Amino acid sequence: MTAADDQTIAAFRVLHGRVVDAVEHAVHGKRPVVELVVAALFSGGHVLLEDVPGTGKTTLARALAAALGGTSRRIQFTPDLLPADVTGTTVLDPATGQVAFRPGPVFTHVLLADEINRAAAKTQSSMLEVMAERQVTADGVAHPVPEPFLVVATQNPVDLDGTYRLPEAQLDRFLVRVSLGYPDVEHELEVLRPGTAAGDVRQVPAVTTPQEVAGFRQALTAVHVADPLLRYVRALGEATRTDARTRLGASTRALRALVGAAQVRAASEGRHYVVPSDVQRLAHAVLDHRVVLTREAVLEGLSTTDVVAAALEGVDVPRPAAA
Amino acid sequence: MSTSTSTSASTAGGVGAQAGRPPGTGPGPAVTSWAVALLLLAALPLSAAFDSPLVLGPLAGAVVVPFAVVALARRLRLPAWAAASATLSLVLVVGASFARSASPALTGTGAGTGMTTVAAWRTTPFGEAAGPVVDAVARLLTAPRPAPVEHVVPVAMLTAVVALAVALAVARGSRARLAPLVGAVVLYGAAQLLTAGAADAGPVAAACVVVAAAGWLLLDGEAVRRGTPEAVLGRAAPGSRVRWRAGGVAGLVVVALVGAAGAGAATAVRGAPYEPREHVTPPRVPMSAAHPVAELARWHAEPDVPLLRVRGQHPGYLSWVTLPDFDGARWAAHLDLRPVGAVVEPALPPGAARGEARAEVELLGLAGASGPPGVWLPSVGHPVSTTAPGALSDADTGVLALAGPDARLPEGLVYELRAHVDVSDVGHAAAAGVPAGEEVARYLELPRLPADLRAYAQAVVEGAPSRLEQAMLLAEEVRTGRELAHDAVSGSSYARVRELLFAEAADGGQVGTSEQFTTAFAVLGRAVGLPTRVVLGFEVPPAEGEEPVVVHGADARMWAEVYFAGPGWVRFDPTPGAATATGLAPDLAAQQVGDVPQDGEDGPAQDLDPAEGGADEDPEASGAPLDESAPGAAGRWAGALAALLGVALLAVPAGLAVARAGRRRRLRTAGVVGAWQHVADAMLLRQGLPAPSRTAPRIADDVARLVDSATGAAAATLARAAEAAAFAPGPASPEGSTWSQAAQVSRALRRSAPWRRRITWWVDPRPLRRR
Repeated sequence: MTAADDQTIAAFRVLHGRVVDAVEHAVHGKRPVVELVVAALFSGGHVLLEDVPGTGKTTLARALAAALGGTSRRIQFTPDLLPADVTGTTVLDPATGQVAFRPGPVFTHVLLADEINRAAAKTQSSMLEVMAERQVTADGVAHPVPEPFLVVATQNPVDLDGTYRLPEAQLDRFLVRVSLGYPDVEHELEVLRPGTAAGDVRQVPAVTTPQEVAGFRQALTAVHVADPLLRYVRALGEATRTDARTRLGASTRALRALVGAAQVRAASEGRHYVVPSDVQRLAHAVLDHRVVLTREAVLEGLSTTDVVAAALEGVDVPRPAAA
Repeated sequence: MSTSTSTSASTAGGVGAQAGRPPGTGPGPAVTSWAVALLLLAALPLSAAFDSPLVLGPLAGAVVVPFAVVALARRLRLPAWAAASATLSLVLVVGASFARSASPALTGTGAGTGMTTVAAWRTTPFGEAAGPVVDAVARLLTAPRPAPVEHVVPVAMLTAVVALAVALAVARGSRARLAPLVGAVVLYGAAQLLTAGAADAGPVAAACVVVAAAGWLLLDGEAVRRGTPEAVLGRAAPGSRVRWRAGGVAGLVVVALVGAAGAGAATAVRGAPYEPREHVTPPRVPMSAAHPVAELARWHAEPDVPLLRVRGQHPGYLSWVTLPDFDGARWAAHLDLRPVGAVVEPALPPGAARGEARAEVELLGLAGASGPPGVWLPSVGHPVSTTAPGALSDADTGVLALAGPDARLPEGLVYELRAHVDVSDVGHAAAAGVPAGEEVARYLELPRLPADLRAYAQAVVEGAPSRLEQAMLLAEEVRTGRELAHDAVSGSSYARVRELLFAEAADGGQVGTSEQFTTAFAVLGRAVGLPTRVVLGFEVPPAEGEEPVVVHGADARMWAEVYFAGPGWVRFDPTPGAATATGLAPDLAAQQVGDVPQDGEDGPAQDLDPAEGGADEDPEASGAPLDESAPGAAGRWAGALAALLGVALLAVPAGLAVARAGRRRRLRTAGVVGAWQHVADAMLLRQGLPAPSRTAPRIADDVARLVDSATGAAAATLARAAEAAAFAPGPASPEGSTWSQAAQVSRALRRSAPWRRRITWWVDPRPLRRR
């Protein structure tokens, strides 16, 4: 891997700032969350927005799609939603008498999967292939989705009646899980003010193109990650796996996603190398939702955040040291 | 340039870890090994309280097992209280079981003491379970010293409890470095108390100080403190290790100062050490002994009958029965027999200079059905240990006897004997007075003493300048012009003494047995205030090399002993033709007799330094080997240790300062990473080891918090530059004046430090062990 050149990094830093600013135009006061979502976009991951209704999850997803300048679709997941409603299906064309594939809503740049946990497990699983492989296979034919492809799924952690919990395999497909939370007083007042642009996705400008995003995705993989940092990331994952409170720790895919997100964050700060704080700031967003607690730990009221926090606190961070 | 890559302290959760709290890291093998080693070392002197090195096994087990149980509990994720309860239960059950099996030797011999009152609590189930343990403590404190190995139960239990407390503290991590020190002090102190300071003359203490200092110096204080704060034991993650790195220099200084103070205290303590056994009354068996004079006549009638076989070091004689009580008609002994070696001070203090006798005695004609009645074993001085089974001794007389229902000694009995013997020369005895008071009344008692005997005695000693000379004049007077006849009429009454001294030869006077000569001397001595007693025993012929010598009937003797304040009991044999007239070194005429102290006062000899006493000057003359365990040896050991520690106290800081200067030179040439390391070292000295998750920029934030924002900004610049150099590919960018910047930050941190840290700033070893 060759190191990312300074011009690419500088250009990305500018673009990153523009995208974040554009999204924040509609979503006020949530810049750290927006940065995480944008990091997922540029590192090729997907985003799981988990929060109570009315905190701006859908607005964030739509604003990101608008800033990206590409196509966006929305699927409102319901219990009777079928897999074909998501991925598409093969139909007989009466005009030609041929069987043709009719693409589903996943064939877009930004897919908003609203309340994804309300769909049945079968429908949720239909998302696995497209999220991981970025293609839909129908009748033995692979149909690739456009690049970049970003799934922004939302789920409500409170109202769980009639929902189907996302399987671990699908959770692992999401690069980050973020929560918006309620805005602070100042920004909430701004949102409440009549005539404000907050929440109005139509006013979000398109500041980039899908092609430009796809290009940076490739370039950012060259951001340097030193060996001590790779070992640090692995030690974090090992700590979550050996923690007696966990039934399932962070997977290798999770750690790879953490490294990728850290590369994007480093580039967004104008660096062509990753530093430990990049990893630390992204660890909770990337790892929390991939760790599964034991039954005893759940009964004790612990959360996966506690486990990841313990790993961050216990594992020695690499520091510059003279030999 | 390089980056640290340790993944050591990765954590794992404890079962009981509370929400929001990080799970604990187990203590790790380094800390545990150090704690176990320190406790094992400190427990080593406890073995000096016992007569067999086998006791080291139980003591080592008592240290290791609690650590093993706690480690097992950690692995099974059991709570701390469960581990503690399990270990304590184990200790109690095993201890009570062994204590019950090690029944006291005196149980069967205490019939003479009457009914035993049992406390009410002993009848409860708890009393029945714990009673043997309580008894074991009493048995240990009343046992001979060194005690038989079966008395190890309470010591092992104490060791186990201390080890358990230390193991739990180490596992919790809160006092991981302090607890082993406290435990070691407890065990070492217990050993010194149990042996009245004889457990260790310095080497073990020095080794403990070294091991403790090594732990404080090398163990990573932060790592051992990073234990879970809950009462649930943490579990170390697989592959994790506890790092060895520089600990607090303050701890090192504390350990060194404690060691130096201990050595100094040991040097200063030259008097009698604290003896806890003095507060415990050993079990006693009262016994009375009448004068076995008939045996003396019988032995002299059969002079070739072998009575004993003796081998080893002895003063040339063995006593058989010591008789201090005289009722005007006969001699007797009212004895309080206790276990040999039990710490019981005699009514009259032993001599200031003492020798030690070690002999092996085999009973021949003295035992068995053909032997004399009685259960007294030939002995000497004050026995401190013997291998004779069930042997008891009387503290005042030194009489050694077998307890049991048999009225005679077992035939063929062979036993080893170790005893302390009063040793004094003529000069010290000549300058000594005799004590007065209730303690000595027993040895001055003369019921219905005829006036002519008292007048005769006073006439003999008139003008004698010292008590010693009075005694020698009396012995000479009794012996001179009279004849020893073993077949003379026996008896020890005043009438028989008067007949010996005053009657004409034609009327049966001037002739007597050894018993009568001795009695005459003892009575006359008491008449002039000399505390006396008589002893029936044996002269031991000189041995050829290591060959044993046989004592025959002809060697049976009776002699008297006079007590002098300071020298103790001194032998006098007033029998005509006695081989040794006195137990003192001869040549009275050569002595310069000084002022004679008044009776009731201690003579100067009592204050003699044994190192200067006659025992040291002429051991051959005393007939006893020297006691080489004089207090001066311990003092020299302690002094040498103190000097060694003093040198170490000076050399260690100097060496550390040099090493630190060398480290700074190396860092200066290491570019921006070296400059940042210099700042990190300063932060380590200023506020200790940073948390493992603290990145370089966050450490720079701490600098801003501790000093000021400008210094913090400089540190942050260095941190970012160092990270770039460490984590970016390719060569580092030009670094400018990074070292001067780092030096400024370091100086600012030192200025903001408390004075104690500023004092040790340049010699603190922690940066030397830093990764």
